Amino acid sequence: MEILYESFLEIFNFADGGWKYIVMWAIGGLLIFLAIKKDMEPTLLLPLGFGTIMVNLPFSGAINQAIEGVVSEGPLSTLFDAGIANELFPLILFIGIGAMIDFGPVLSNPKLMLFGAAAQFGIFFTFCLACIFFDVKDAASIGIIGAADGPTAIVVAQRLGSNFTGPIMVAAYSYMALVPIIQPPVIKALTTKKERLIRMPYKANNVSKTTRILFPIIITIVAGMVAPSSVALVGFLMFGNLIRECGVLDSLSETAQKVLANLVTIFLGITIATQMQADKFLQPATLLILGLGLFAFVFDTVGGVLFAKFLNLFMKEKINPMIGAAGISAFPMSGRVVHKMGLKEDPQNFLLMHSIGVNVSGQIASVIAGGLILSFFA
Amino acid sequence: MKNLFSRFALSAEESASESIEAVVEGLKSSVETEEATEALADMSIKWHPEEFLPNLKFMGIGMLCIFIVIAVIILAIYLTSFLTNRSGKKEKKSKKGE
Repeated sequence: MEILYESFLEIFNFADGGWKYIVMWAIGGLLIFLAIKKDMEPTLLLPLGFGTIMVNLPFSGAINQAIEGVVSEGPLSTLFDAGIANELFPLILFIGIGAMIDFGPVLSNPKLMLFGAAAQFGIFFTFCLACIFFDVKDAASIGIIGAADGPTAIVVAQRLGSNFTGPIMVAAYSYMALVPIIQPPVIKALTTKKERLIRMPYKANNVSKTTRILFPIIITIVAGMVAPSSVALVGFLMFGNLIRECGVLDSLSETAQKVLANLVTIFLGITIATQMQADKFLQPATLLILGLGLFAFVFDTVGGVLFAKFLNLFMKEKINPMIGAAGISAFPMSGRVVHKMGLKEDPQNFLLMHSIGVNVSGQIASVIAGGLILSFFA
Repeated sequence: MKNLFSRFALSAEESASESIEAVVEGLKSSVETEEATEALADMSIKWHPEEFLPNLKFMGIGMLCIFIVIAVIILAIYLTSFLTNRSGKKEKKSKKGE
């Protein structure tokens, strides 16, 4: 009875920050609403929303609490130490993601990978901008929101010891889900109608099984040589892909794609909620991070589209610059958005294979960018 | 009398150790509060516009590195495809010959 009285006192003591609990419940509720009603990244936003409510109850037993000098351990804090503080969960999730991705479209037209590289521009530009407001390590963690890749953002933010893991993850996953709203106006602003009508016939080249098997190994070696810090990120992703492509581990591939990925996602979402405690989250910095995250997504799109336009200056066979925008690694939303925009302009213009190829290469490039950021600042 | 004196000495020792513990506890809690305030202070927003230009070099180096890595990967893919296609063609020819 006494604890109930104290809890009420804690919440309704508005002058002493009791209102923060109510705001955080509202944020948790909003995340659950967006996940269920708007279908925005439900696998992550729903556990995150529920976890936000759990950790923002007065004296919550879900997280570590120090009451009268005695620390009682909370399971979510324990999970955080066991799986996120040491970056284990996001890396394991990468095995599942790697097993899900078919790199076929990139392998049949490897030049598409250049657009994936160009679309990482937003990460670095946002980093420079974030340096004005935050110290270098926090700025780098905020810039990586532009990788449009939740696990990469978590790994980088954790390894750089950022205080903003919660807001960074919310921004990364929310904007990934908002790609269909963010990208089209930016693409339209940067391209002319004539450019959007450019048709790109798809020539399906046969990709040998050996190439498919060697691809993940080559990428791991090359990325590891240039940025050794990226070995874990790239290696886990490519290991998942190797399981998929080797042809002798079908049951492991299936497990990685479904059971493993789902299991880790459940723990990842609810565990990251430990970073959504009112005192940490309800800061003016959170709003700024959300703004910078949006900026990163916009400038990723700008980088990809402008690079395609730049290449068009020298190429005989013109490229539809819209496919450059698919270079952000929000897979497969970004590829689909570009395909749909192409169809809207010309119902006979099928850009899907190109845009998905660029989108997949964006996944690789964003992981390499994460590794580079770690090499620079870790 | 001796007993009484030793009892006094013991109680003085106890109270001294208790006070030391209290001081240590106090120090610990003050350190914890300092850490907490430091953490919260780290979450504040700064205003250093002069930081923008010097950090542009990371943008240049980062983008350059990504393009180099991607270019090497593209070359490696072309090379692998070329080699595997050639060996595939050879195998086909040898099968036809048989």
